Amino acid sequence: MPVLASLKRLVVLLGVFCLAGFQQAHATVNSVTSTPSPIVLQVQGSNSVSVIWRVNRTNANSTGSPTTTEIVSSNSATLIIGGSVVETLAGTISQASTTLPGAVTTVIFQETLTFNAAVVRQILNAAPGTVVVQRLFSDTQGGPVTAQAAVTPGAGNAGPLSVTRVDLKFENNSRTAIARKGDVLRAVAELNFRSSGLLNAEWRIVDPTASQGSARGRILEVVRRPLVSSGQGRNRIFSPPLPTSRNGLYLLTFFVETEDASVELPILRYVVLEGSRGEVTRDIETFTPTAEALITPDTVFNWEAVEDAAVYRISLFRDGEKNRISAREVTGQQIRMSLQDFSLEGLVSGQRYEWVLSAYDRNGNLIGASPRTGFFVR
Amino acid sequence: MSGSFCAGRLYRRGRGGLLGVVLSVCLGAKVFAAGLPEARLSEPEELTQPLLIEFSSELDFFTLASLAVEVDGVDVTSLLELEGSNLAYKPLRDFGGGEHQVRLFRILEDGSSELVSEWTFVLEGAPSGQEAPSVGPEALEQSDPGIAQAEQFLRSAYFRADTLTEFSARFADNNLDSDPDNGILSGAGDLNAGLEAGNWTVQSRLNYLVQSEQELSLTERAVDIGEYDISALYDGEAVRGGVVLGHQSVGQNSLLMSDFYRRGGSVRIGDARGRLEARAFALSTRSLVGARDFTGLNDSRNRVQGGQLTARPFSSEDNPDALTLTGSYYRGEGDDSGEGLSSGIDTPEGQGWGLTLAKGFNNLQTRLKADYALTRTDLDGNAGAAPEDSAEAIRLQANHRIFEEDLILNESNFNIETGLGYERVDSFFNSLANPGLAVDRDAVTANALFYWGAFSGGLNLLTETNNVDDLESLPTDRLNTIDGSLNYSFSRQEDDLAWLGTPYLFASGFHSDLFREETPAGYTGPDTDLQSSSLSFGGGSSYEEWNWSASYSVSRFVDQTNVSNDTLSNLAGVFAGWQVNERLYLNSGIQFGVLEDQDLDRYSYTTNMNMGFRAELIPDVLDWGLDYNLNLANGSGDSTDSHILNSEVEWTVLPPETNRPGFAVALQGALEDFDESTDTSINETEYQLFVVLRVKAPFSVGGY
Repeated sequence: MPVLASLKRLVVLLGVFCLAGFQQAHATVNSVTSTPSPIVLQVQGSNSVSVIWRVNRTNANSTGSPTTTEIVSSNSATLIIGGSVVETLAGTISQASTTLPGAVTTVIFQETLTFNAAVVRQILNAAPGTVVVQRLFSDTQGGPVTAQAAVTPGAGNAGPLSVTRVDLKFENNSRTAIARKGDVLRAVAELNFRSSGLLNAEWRIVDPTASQGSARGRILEVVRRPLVSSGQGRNRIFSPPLPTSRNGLYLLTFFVETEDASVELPILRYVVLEGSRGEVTRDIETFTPTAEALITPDTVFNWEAVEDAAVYRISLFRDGEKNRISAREVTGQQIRMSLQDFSLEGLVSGQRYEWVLSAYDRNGNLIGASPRTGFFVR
Repeated sequence: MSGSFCAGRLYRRGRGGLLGVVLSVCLGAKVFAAGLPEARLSEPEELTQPLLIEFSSELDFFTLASLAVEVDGVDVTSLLELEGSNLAYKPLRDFGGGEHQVRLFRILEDGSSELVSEWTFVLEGAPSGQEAPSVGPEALEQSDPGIAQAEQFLRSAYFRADTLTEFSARFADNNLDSDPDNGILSGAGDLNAGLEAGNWTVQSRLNYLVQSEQELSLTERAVDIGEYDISALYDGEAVRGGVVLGHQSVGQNSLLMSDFYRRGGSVRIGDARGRLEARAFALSTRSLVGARDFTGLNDSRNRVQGGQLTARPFSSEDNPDALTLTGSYYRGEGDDSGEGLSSGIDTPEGQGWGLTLAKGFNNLQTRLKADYALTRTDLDGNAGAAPEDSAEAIRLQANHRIFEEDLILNESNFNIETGLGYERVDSFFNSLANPGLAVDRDAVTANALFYWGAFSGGLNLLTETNNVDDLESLPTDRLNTIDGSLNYSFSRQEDDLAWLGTPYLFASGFHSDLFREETPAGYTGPDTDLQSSSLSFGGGSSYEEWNWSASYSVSRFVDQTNVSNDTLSNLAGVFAGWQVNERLYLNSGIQFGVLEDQDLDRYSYTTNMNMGFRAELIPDVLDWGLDYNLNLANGSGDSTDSHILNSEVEWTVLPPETNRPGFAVALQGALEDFDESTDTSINETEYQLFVVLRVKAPFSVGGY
């Protein structure tokens, strides 16, 4: 019996060997490589990763038409941890491949695989080197050939720069803005990103002359900035002053070249009206003095220039009160001033006061103001 | 000391009805002998007329240069114009009705000032609005009590609306990608209303958008609101508080809650001295627009609710250093998406609490702040398979001003602000109310900021590591960065240097080094070793009629592990604007960039140019604007080039006035030409032309 059993086993093995050899002889998919290798996942939350499969195949036909077209395909992408399939990540991908008989060609597949938060946690807890994404590629002439891409948990900085969140808003935090002609309006893009690299982005806008039709928009400004983080990072990017010279609807977006396919770029809308100004839309950035500084007649107030400003005014207030104590105005060509001592008269040493810089256009409209900043006097 | 009284004048202005009757009376004037010729105020006869300070004899230049004038508490010396030997001042808008005060000072050599003359005069009429003194109680008492009450109500209640409604008809087009309706009704507006009654102040703000073409609309509705807020605040002698509904940010920025501007509701109450304040809130996690979920609270699967308690137990008016404690708590679930927002695919659920402490010392010369937060979050919700994570974050920050009082160096104030911080955010920290916080970082920061007159600068240092939770299968990397900036704003240049205008200069630099600190056994991921640096500088100047600015930046990114390609970016830009005259404005700018992929030896060139003008062909009737944009992309990164021409001619049939709509007709269009060097099938020229009827309607009631 043992001899018979051994012979049977030998026959089975030979059969399997012959079958494999037969398949090998007719298999036209030679090999498959994947990029990136390994796939590195950030451990916090879901990940969407762009994966490229390069399928190397040979046209097994030696006779017949000079060229043949075969369909190269894979039914599913499965996640395997420790030899067990735990998740199907994606479905069928297929592509036609046309080659000469006997010729070797490479068919490239690109897909985005999404690993949800629970799966990522399983990968984090798995033994190193036991996690793969697997696809079986075949064509109509033979196959399949197994392709595997290793998966490993990693710090967020593994791989190229990837923008994971875009928060696009105007400087006053709103996301729909009503502006007036000549207003100085800016938007802010708050980006969350992982890894590091050079941000290549553009502020793009569609003007009212096209927004009611079909338009791709124009580039308002190119932004290139190094973004670095040890894992996850955050950065604020301010737009240039947005056009407000025409009535109507403007569409604004911040176009980012990113590896993360899960992030769609939001669009902001703003409408420019003709009418009188109702509220300040522009926050003016001031450089000096700093918050809670001691202010004397020698203190230099210094701020960024505001387009269309005809007059700037520094106003002094008691802490938290609305009524102004005193103020000074200078022309719109100046971006710095000091106060005279009579503007500070009556202010009590040690008490906290606040100052505000405001800008007015040539019609006397308030077009911007700085945040209230605390100060003291001697 | 001498004085004089001016005769009253009575006349009627063209607008304003009863309030347009302007009575100008010089109520009183004091002139102080100060070694100066006698000064006399020639007050304005109309609200829009300039006031004139006349001197009995001519002043020499040095005396004139030593004078300063204050009008209604505003030092307007820089805006004075010399008319002969007299000083003239004309406000931008008008003086407004009410009592006005004018003070003439002489600045002494030591920088102190002495009062030379002081005058007051009264103009009857509507106060000029913002920051203008309101009509004094005396004026009200002189009129009928009923009218006084009505006027008081008008001042305390207001409604303002600013609207634009357009009907655009596309009458010609070519090669459009999409095909919206030829005739589209669109528009927008914002509404503001307020009321003050006793200790209560009610304010509201709302904007709306109109769009008949569904694909272009904000919410797929033809008419819908965008964002709004309504607040009712009570400010009593003992208690203050209020209710806010709509878009709002709750509380101070902290690790638990930051930049969380969302639609919802909140209620707060506290003592009038600000020592204790409690707040309850419920906010949507999503960035909402539209009226479909007006309160923002209808969707319990996208909502956080909680409370906040702030205590300043030792605060008083003369104690800015008092301790402030704030405790916060929230609970909820929902994703972080919506208008203007785009983020991941997770819909987390959880809760969090936080505590912040802030304390100053020596009149805030030293400031300390501590911030702690704990979150328990299930990233895929309770129904998902991912476990709930409990994670902490802590931030400590100390700031110190080196000199309690500014040093005076070379006649300019000098001081240095320094700061030291520590921040540790666990790997799985996730706050629904601070969705943008960068997590998994253990960081130490140091910074310094100095100012010396108009010269200022800053320096920031940071060192941080990741893998804060010491996960065994993950490597640990360290990031070191240094960045600094310098700014200098010159005063307006005079005489031989007048051609420099009012210039400014800036420069900034940045360098970072990211490297592997610890690699676990069996780790198969890539190594980390990269450096990044950038340098930017530029400047500009403004003149009476034009301004210009220029900037240049170079950025380099080097990845020693070759996971990413090394890149070098050069970007330069020049911009200029010229107000040729009151009816013509020109603008132009060009930005040129070179992006080099140093691993592949590939160069990409980008050129973005714009130029345009705005012209008032017939004042207040016919305007013409034109803009041309050129976007070129050449080299290895070649992509589609585009030439875009936008233009509009607007004929104002009836200009809008407050409470009277205006009408205008516009002819506008855009031409977009796309050229692709590698795939000529993309080459095409699109154009579209519209005729637009505009109704511009500003409304305003009350609220003088």
